[in-house]
Amino acid sequence: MTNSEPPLQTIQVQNIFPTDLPYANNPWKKNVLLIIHDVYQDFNAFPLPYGYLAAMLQKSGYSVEVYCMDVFHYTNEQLEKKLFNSEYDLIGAGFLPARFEETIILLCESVNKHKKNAWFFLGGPGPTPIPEYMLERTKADLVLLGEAEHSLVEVMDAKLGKRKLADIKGIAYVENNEIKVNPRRPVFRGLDSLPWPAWDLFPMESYTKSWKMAGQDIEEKSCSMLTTRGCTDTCTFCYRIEKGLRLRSLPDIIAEMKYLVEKYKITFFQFVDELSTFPRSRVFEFERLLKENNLNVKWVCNSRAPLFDEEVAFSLKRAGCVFVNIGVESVDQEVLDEMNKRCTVDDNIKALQVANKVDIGVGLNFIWGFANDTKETLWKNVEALKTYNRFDQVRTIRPPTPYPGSPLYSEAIKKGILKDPDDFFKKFKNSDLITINFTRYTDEECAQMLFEANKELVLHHFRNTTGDMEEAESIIEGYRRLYFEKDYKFRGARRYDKTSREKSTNANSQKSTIPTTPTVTNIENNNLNQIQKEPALPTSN
Amino acid sequence: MAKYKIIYDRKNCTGIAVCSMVAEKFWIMNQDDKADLVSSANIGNDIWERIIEEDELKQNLDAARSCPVRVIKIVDEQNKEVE
Repeated sequence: MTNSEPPLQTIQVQNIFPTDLPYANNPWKKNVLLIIHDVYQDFNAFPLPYGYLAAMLQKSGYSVEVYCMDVFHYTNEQLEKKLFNSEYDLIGAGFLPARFEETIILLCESVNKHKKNAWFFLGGPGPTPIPEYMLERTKADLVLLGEAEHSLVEVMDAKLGKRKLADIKGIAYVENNEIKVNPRRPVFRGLDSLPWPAWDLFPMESYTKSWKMAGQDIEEKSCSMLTTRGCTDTCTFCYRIEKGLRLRSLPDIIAEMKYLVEKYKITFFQFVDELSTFPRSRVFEFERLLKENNLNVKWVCNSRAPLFDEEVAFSLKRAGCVFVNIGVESVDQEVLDEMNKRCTVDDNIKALQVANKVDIGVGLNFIWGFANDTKETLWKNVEALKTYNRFDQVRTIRPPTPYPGSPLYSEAIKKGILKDPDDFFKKFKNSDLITINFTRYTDEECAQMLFEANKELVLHHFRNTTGDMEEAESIIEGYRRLYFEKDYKFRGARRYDKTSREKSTNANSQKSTIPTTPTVTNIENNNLNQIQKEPALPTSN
Repeated sequence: MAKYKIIYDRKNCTGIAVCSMVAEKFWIMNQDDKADLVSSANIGNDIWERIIEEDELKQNLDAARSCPVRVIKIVDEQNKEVE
């Protein structure tokens, strides 16, 4: 320093971070890192569970960082570099079982290599039903069982020595090389007391612009939201991490929507609830409140056929709903009963007729591959899909997968056709493939039958929409490689294609074929015709 | 005015909670994740009963019909099930 330079001044810096919080004097160090793993697609919906966890941690005074591998397609090597240069108390990731072998195992290896003193936790529907297996297989330190907003905060407390892990309900953990599984927490019913998701931590520009649904314009900004948690039913193919249905209050939902509209300019909401339309009275009240609050937005939601009558459908449409997913699953009563669907074929057909009459987009979800399923039930499903297709998406038929925790998984174990979680993950390759064969046919016969059915559905879709048969053939080729060459990278045929929808609407209005409202009997008759045209099964492997 | 009786088999409740949403004055969720029928009496074997008036029938019928495990039954004065 020379004499000509001004003297250094001591600057009094005010500590803006409350001193009673952990790391109060080190704002660069975070308590918790939440890793949102890649799902290898360009379209990523806002990851709500992480948003809620982050908000709850922040509300409890803990600092959170999120690492969005989904949006930015970060590799595990990039994750390792990040972890190498950082320090956390907790590092966590959640996942669905379908992603376990493909993504989570390697991600866990990377975290375990560089977690330093952090505790590594897993959560979500993947690990919750099988915590012991997951802890052994992944070498994670903890599994959070079920909805984890409260248990995660308590685990963070435990990391700082304020609690004992043994006293925290809803976790499984490793202690002295022994796995401990604590009792579950009671189902949390006070949803309105949860803070709203911590959107500010996430790259909202990416999340609000990327995900496109049927009925959504390309320039519209969207965001996912939860208005309920859980479902009224217990279908055998479904696993949910908590029992029953819980509702948020409508005023709280409206307030959150208004905030998202104002802050992120959201005009399209994806209500990703498993069931959004129960009870009926709530649908009508929601419509009233949206109007009262001048919320002129579009949205999509999920319903059940027995709940989707004309009055409900018109109310949904008036309120801005453009698309409803309905778990039709099958148009065969024995199969519906077998999957404990608690609805009739007539409920399903009426719901599809209502969608056409009210002119509201509908997601037709069908499953084939239960014990009572036959060639005939498969082609009845194909005919129903073709008859009621509104071409909002390319819809195809998948087999049921007995995910751990589901009644179907227990059934497979009981029947001796599945041994344990390890056996499941060895057999599960792709949700369009039969993982466990519950049918009377061989695996090869099932593959051939599903291929022919889905080929028919894909061709039907493109013939009636864009006419782009090259695109159709490309999807069919994807199915062929998946079913017969075990090319597991195939991601299914579903498309959210506005052009297809517009073309189909135009085509249909010219032909005046919508609404077609055939009866169940018509379908059965159509089906009979279809069965005669059905291709023969392969005679050899 | 006719009276009806709700017969609730609590031991087989699986805690789906639908009853507490369609008839919230009558059904509340307990900490053990099963529903409680408000102001009811245990007649043994965890079967609970309560008499209701005609104007209380509709919402409780909604609860009974919505229950996925069908543990709620409503009978009239002749002990005939109302469905």
